[in-house]
Amino acid sequence: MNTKAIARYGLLTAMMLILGFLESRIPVAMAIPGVKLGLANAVLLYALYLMGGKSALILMVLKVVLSGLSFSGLSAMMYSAAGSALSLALMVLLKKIKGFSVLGVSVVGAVGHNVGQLAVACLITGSWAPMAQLPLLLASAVLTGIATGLAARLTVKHLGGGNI
Amino acid sequence: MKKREIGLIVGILVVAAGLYGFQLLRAPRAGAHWQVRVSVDGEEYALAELSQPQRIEVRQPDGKENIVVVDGQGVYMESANCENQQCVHQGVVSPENIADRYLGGSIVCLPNRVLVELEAEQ
Repeated sequence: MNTKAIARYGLLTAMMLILGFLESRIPVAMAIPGVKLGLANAVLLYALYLMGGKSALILMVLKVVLSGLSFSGLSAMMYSAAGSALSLALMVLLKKIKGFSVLGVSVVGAVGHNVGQLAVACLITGSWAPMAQLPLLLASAVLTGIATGLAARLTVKHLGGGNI
Repeated sequence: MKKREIGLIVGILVVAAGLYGFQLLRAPRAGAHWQVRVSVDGEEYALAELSQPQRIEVRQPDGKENIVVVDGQGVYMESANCENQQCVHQGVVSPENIADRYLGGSIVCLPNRVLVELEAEQ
C-alpha cells in the first residue's frame, strides 16, 4: 500500500471515528438503544462507490475495532461488528443491482445494521425479546439511510465523482 | 429517488407496520398470569409467581452468585458477583414496562449465564 493510500485510509477512518463519537454524544431516542444516525455510513458509502468493496471492508473493520477500543466498549463491539458486517454485505449486494442508487444502498445498509445488532441481542439474551424493537428501528433506518445516502451523494458529486 | 428505491422503502415500512400489528395482537391481556422463570446456562432453575414476593438465590458450583428479587409488582436482579454488573443495572421488569424495555421481559447476566424472564401464561 503506498503512502497516498495509507493517508487516505487514515483520513477516512478518522472521519468515521469522529462521526461515530459525535453521534454517540447526541441523545436520539434514549429509550431505544440502537437508534443511531449512522453518520459513519456516509463515509463508508463514499468508499464503496469511489474506492471499491475491499476498501470499504478495510474501513469497516478499522472503524469497528478502533471505536470499540476507544469509546464504545468491548461488549458494544460485538453488536457493532455484527451490524456493520451485515450492513456492508447488503450494501455491496444491492449496489450490484441496477435500479438502485446510493439512496437504496444506504437504506439497506442502515436496515442491515439494525437487524444485525438485534440478532446479536437475541443470541445473547437467548430470547426473541429484543425483536420487539424491530418496527421502530426499521422506520428509523429508512430515515437515517436516506439522510446518509443524500450526504454521500452530495459529497461524491462535489468531489468530482459523478452522480451516484 | 428511483422507482425501485421507493418500492424498497415502502416495502420495508410495510414490513415494519406488519410486525408492529403482530406485536399488538400478541400483547398479553390484563389479568394474565405472570410468572418469573430463572434459567442458568439455558436450563430452568426456578419458576415463580410474580404475585408472590420472594428472593431467588442462584449459587453455582463455581462460585457464581446472583440474587433475583420478586417484589409482587416486578422482578429485578438485586445483586450479582459478575464483573460488569449490567444485570443489576437493567432495572425492574414488570408487566407495565415489558413492552418498552429493550430486552423486553428479560434480565440477563452474561458472565454468570443467568437469564431471568417475566412471562405471561395466556
